[in-house]
Amino acid sequence: MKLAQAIGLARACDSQPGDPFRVFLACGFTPQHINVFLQAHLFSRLKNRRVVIDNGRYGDLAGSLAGLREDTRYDALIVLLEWSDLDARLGYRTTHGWRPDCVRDYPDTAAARLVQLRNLIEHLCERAALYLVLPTLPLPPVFLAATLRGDCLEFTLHERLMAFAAAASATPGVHVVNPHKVDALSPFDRRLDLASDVRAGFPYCLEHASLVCRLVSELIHPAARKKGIITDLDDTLWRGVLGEDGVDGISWELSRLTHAHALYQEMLAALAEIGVLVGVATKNDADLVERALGRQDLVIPREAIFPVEAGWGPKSAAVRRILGTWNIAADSVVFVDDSPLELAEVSAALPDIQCIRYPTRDDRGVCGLLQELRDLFGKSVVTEEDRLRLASIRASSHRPDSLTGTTPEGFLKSLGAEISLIYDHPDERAFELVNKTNQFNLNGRRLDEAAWRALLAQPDRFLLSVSYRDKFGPLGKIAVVSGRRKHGELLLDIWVMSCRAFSRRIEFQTLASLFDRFSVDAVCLDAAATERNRPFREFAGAMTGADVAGPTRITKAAFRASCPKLCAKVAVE
Amino acid sequence: MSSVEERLTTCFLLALPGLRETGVSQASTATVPAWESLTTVNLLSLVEEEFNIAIPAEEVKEFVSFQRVLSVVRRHCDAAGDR
Repeated sequence: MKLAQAIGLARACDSQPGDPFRVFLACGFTPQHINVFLQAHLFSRLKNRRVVIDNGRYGDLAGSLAGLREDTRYDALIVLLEWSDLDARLGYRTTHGWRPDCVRDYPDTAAARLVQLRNLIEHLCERAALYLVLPTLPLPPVFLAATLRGDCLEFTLHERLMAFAAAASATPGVHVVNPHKVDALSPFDRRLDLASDVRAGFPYCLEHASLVCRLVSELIHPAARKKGIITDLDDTLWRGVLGEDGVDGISWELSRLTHAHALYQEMLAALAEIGVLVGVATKNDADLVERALGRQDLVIPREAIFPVEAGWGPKSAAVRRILGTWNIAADSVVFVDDSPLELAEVSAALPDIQCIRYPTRDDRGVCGLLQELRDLFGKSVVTEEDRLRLASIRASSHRPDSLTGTTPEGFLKSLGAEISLIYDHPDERAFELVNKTNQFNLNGRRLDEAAWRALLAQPDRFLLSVSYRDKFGPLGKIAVVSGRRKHGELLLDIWVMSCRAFSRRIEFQTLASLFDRFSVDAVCLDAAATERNRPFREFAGAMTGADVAGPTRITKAAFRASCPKLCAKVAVE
Repeated sequence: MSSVEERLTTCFLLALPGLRETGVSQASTATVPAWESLTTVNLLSLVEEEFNIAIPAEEVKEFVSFQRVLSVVRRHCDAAGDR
């Protein structure tokens, strides 16, 4: 982004009405252009929400952070660290530090400052999400050896910084921008603007400043994580064409120079273990496919792939069937195939799906693909539900039809369902459910970390997490409800439930429990219609007799009149 | 492509949001109260970005009026062969 464009966006941002997203930006240098770029990038990512940025004192990063100790106004705290914040002599605006006697103590002075910063960060991240950028500028040539030769003191300085970064990144609420990402996107020799540093105390080239702000903004408001990947087989999961080369002719081996496919399989296996759904859509004979997927040397476990759609119809039809089995929308899924024609066919039929071409015979391209997949699916915390997801989908697909040969009540009773209601125990899974659930969703509202923290901090708010298990196995935590009790009624502004938990009357059981626990005669839903929340609206509409597309009040009497028989055993924790 | 003067006018309008387009050519630190030191820093960065030039420190003192900045920019553009 150019500075001129950023100034234009920042002006548009300033004129927006409404509750702003408040940021405190701490850096030791003049923040002028950083403020503009940050405001512009955040404004774009937050979909035109006003962004207000406050700054600390020039040249006093630690002091600026210390001044925030009791401040709770901010949605996000951003710390842009530079070498001169660890020791002023490591910047270009001083001239007392490059001589041999000075250089020796750099690691120790930096370590002392890093301890101070770590203490401040650990305290501040309890109040607001904190985003940390490690020094991105090149160190001045302060060390004695020629710059080609690695200097022990310089390595020690980096070691201290990395220890600090490791501790910070392991602290809940602290998010560290990966320096390798910065390195990949910003040429090292085009980061420092010495003229600007000397002239105005702003040490970054504009392009570098914009990039740093873009990365921080993406970390603050990341893109929605994808949920599933559908992959082709021939020349994609493996090298070769199964129908022509046979089960033993396809390969993913170092010795046959087809190892890139093994790496792709390894990535899919790793993604499956963090809860990503992996399916196959292939134009092949189904029996042959099963034999190939049964090969003992397949890197991804066979059981990690579900379902496998093998046949000769259009790929888009196979993809649709997989989406149906997973019960997720196309825009949550990535389709990978080596054939541009197949990609175009799927893309035309399902425009929301993200199509990626597998770069067969292009190992450098495969490296890029693996990075892209990690970015699309990556997550820092793996929950129990991630491990349960595939098993529960597989169990659901094999489960007999609930309405065949028995009444719905009879079927539900036979499940031996147990529902656990856990109050006021927010965790990563609850946050994830709020931000990924589309169909059973009260209003489609998404919350970034700052909004989530602010919501949980409200003194009169409750947060209910719902877990479920039956004879087919546990589904884990599948629903979240949040709201407040006011004037004898319950106001709900968050209610989401995973689509894996549909058709079990968990939503009725949840509402029944809320009426009882809070002793209220009515529940007010802060509902809104979205493109995809018809399941929620149909549930609520059954009690009101009309489509629920806006704020709606449901009385206890109306609930009782439409509530079906509930069969699950409920435990409240 | 716009003329140097038009492009510089855009830079001035971005750096000095209160300025009207018709007043840009007469703008100076004496006539525009909002033109402070940070404005000069912004203007300098905008000019360097727009014209892809580097203004040496000794020429920053010329950033006191539109006409003098225009002279600086023209000189650099002439030197770079980009009019």
